[in-house]
Amino acid sequence: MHFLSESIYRAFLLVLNLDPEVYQIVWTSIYISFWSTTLSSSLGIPLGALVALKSFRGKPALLLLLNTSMALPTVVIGLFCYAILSRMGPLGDLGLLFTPTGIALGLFVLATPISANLTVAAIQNLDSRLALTCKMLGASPLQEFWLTMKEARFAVMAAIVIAFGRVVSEVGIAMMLGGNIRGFTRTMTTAIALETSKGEFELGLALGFVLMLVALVINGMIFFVQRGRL
Amino acid sequence: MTPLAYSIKDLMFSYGARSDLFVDTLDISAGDVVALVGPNGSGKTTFLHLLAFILSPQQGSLSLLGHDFQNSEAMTFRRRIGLLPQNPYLFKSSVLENVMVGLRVRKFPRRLIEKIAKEALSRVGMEGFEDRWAGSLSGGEAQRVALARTLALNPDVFLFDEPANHLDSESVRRTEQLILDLNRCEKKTVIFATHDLTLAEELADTVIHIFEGHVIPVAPFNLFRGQVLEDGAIFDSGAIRFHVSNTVQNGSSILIDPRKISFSTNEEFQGLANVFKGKIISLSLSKNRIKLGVLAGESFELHREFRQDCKDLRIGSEIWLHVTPESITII
Repeated sequence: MHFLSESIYRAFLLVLNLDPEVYQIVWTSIYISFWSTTLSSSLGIPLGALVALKSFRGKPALLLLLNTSMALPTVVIGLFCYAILSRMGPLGDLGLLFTPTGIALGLFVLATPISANLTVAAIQNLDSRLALTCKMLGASPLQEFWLTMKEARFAVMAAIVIAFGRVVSEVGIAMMLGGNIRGFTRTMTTAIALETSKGEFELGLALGFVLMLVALVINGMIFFVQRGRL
Repeated sequence: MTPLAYSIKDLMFSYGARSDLFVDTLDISAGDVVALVGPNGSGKTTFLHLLAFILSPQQGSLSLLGHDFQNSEAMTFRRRIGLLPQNPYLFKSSVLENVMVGLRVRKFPRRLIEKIAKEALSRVGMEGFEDRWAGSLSGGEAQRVALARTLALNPDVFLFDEPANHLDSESVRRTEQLILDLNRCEKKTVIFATHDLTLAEELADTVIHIFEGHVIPVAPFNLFRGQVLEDGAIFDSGAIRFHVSNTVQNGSSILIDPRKISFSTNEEFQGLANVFKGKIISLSLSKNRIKLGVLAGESFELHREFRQDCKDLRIGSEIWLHVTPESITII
């Protein structure tokens, strides 16, 4: 018990004393998560909107693929991306393996189906009278698309926040594609795993606190977004 | 000659295999107030959506103010119409934004949009509500905002789907006055759907009766299904036998105009055909018109002007109905 309380005390000190290593790791995590979420939202949201609003051949198959992608284990995504980014892989010449960009690409693969699926659900859950209202106002197809996305904005914003929450707490892909290199690709989750295996609980706990703080902020954002007032 | 707002020929629309609406020939003059009267599910909303060019006819022709409708020009045609649906949708934004959205879509001059929207809100008694979140409005307030959104568009033709639904009596009076103002002061064509024959007759220049997707010549009330017997002299609904005058060999339903059913609280109709004794099950009075629901073997609806002899009517009291054979239409 004494050991645990001592570890928590030291962890708090690390956070409060602005320990450079802690903040370097936090920054790396946030930086990678931001870019992977931005990229995945840029592709996933329009893709989700297209799937929800348009009828085309292969739509059920695409929906099935998107749903299945949500359930892919992160180590499988990590393995798949590793094969592509490794020296012998098709993108090996870019030298992205064991870089923050490499992790961001893996997390992009993880988050894109989340953004797309949640966007599909957001649009499909809109009031059925919306399409009629757009038409009776005389909206062009582009105006109708814009008005629909505007109506779905709270749920779509929640989708972005959920995708961010998923990538910032991910460990398998970050470990496989980043290699957990100190000061370069070490993220909060990989650092916690490493420090715990070394028996260095203080740093692991300190990062755990920050991660929980990030989770709290994300959940707070979802709460306000879903209330429709952000 | 008065120009035509709509000219319709052999118009057909169907949601499935069965024809849901068929109108053979119908002209609606510009500047008229027209009521579409029919029971729920008769095709009034489908007809309004066709007139608003939200649905496209599957057969036949439809023209608006002399221009034949083409599917490829649906958006242009829609922008000449203002449709107020029965249960309108408001966007997740402020009241003012909701009124301005249609003006933006129809590309009104930017500098005028806010002014027009505020004027429209004021016209429906919603001034001061501009910054309110649309989702926080009551049902009646939301209906008025949707009405303001339609008015702001200043279209050639206004289409209202059950405009008096969900409104209190003051708002109904206001809406009726608005329909008259749009027509008399602004010379707009107004077409509204209603199941209230009294309202239709009070406001409209022309009343179009719709029943099971067809325009019919009589008010679509008192529908009884059954069969024609005795070489067309009798119609048997199962519960009642009616003497009918128009001798037809087949027909599975009859309609009786609710204004043409006589009633009495004593037995004064003795010796006449089609006299039915029953009990009053509903009673309502609106603007000097009385509407009765009577259970007399079948459930009848009666409309007539309020007179002194109506004072004794009570729910549950006995009543005798007389239906002249001439007022029965076999369909």
